[in-house]
Amino acid sequence: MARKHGLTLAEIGDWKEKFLLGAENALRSKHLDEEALKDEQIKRLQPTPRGRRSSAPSRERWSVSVHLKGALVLGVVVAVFGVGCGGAGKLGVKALSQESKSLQSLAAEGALLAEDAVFGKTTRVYTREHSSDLYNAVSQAEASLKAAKTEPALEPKLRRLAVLAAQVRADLNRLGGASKEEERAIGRELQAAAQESQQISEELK
Amino acid sequence: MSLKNVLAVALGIFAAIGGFVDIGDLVFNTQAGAIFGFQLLWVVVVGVVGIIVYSEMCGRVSAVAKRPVFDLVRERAGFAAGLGTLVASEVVNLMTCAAEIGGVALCLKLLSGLPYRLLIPLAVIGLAVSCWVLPFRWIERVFGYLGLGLLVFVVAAIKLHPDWGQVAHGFVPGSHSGGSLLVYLYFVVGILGTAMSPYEVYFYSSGVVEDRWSLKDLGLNKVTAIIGYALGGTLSMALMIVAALLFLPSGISPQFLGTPALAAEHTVGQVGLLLALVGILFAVGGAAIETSFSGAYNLAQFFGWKWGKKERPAAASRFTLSWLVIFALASLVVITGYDPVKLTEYSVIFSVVALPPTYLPILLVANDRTYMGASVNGKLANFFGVLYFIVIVAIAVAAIPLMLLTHGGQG
Repeated sequence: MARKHGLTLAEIGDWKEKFLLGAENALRSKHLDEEALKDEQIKRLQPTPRGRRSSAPSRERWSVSVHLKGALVLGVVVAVFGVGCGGAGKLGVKALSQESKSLQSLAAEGALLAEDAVFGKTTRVYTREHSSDLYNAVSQAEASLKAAKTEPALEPKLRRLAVLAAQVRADLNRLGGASKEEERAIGRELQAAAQESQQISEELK
Repeated sequence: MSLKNVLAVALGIFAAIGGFVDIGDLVFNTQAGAIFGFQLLWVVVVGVVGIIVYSEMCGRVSAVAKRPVFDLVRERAGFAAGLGTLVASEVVNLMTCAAEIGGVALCLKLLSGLPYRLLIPLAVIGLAVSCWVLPFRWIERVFGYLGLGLLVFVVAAIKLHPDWGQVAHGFVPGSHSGGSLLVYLYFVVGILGTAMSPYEVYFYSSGVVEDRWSLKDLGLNKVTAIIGYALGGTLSMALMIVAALLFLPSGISPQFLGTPALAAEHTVGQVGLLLALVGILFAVGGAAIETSFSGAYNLAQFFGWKWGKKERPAAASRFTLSWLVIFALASLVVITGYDPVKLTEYSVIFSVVALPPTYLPILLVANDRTYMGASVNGKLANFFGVLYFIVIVAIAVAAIPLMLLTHGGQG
């Protein structure tokens, strides 16, 4: 197949390696940046204690087309099922704006829930369970914000969002078992956090 | 209409509540309302008319030819193409069933506070026992009528006092604001996909055979399809309106099954919350039954096994085993911890791809005098049938690219 298209096996092998590396990186919950990927590749290519390269000889028995087909299938799977996966790589303006919108959404939903709890519109079980779902989502957002890197100009906003996420997480954690007075205070705090997140996202436009 | 006929309409209501307002509908319509306000209401109307056209057609085919859809798919498309359609529809059925079971467990969690992972097997056992013990008509009635708790969203939509002029404007397709064009198109495809899911027609046509409808029931078939799906469409629109009025101004992007219930709670109070959760529980539970049965119907009809709830489980053993296995596999999928809401989004988009091979044989058979005799499609049915088939092919082609380009509607 390589000959037919005027390519060498090495060229195809290189493409395959790059593709698989990219796909593997896409599957990580925390994406690595280019430098980290390069380091990892160097580590992989270094001799193992037995003085052998880590790629197993049995793999060489596979034909190139099998590798390419495998990579293609893997690529489709990664593309389709990785669609919704967020990562914690280097955040640009768009990604940071997305993060702040997501935080705004979670905080606003928590505020609405707290408000309903104050007015006795909800059940204790629903408040506890739904606030727990929101708490889990904010915890994930907070972790990814804390691990993320961004351009120097955007650093203050990233830090502010991480702090806000921590506040929202703490509020949602308390909401499930809060008294009426606490619910009122939590509602106000969550509303303020939602507004601040919205402001950050507007500043990023 | 006699009491008997009123009860018979239950098939349509069940199909509409479980099929039209399933987890996919709850997810896509509330998200669409929260992003685009009323601007996508027209898509619900397009979807409702489409599913009415094809459900009426396949109900008529089943009542006249006494054969359900998949039987005809294999006959018209041949073994190889039929097998391809079977595999695609089984994968979509399984994904949808898994999402619905996850939805049932999530709903039970919001009602009881018990752990989600514990509720998954309990939900599956509950659904399987209902399917085993209840006759087909009672499954329709129990899940259809208890699913009517969702009507609380209509009440909520009215209580939120929308600007009805703006709502009316949403029924006219046009320019959009609030999100990019690609995201807008993604939701168009998603809402149409969830409205016209293949499992709805498989279930509906098999239900017609189960309910032993004949030529004299063609009028009832028409009424059932129109009332049932129009009701489903009304609920979908109510969800979108509520989301537009409550979630859009606060910047809430619904990503949990519990979020629509929050709208009912905020507007109607504790009773509203409970009605919404019970309605969602039975609508999603009904959809889980529909998908598992659809999967079993398709397999049995394709391979020529004895099938139907009217048969004793031992007499239709392979059919019975099929829906039990689908329930078991679906519960395994959700027990891995995959988010049912995310799973729903994928299953809806993949089901769109399976639409053309599902609907084409129905259109062909409904036009075939050797099967249909005098009940063959009229000019109006053919006009809408062909028009919708073109729409279906267009959205089937666009579905996966749009999902990839918009990162699943996230922009």
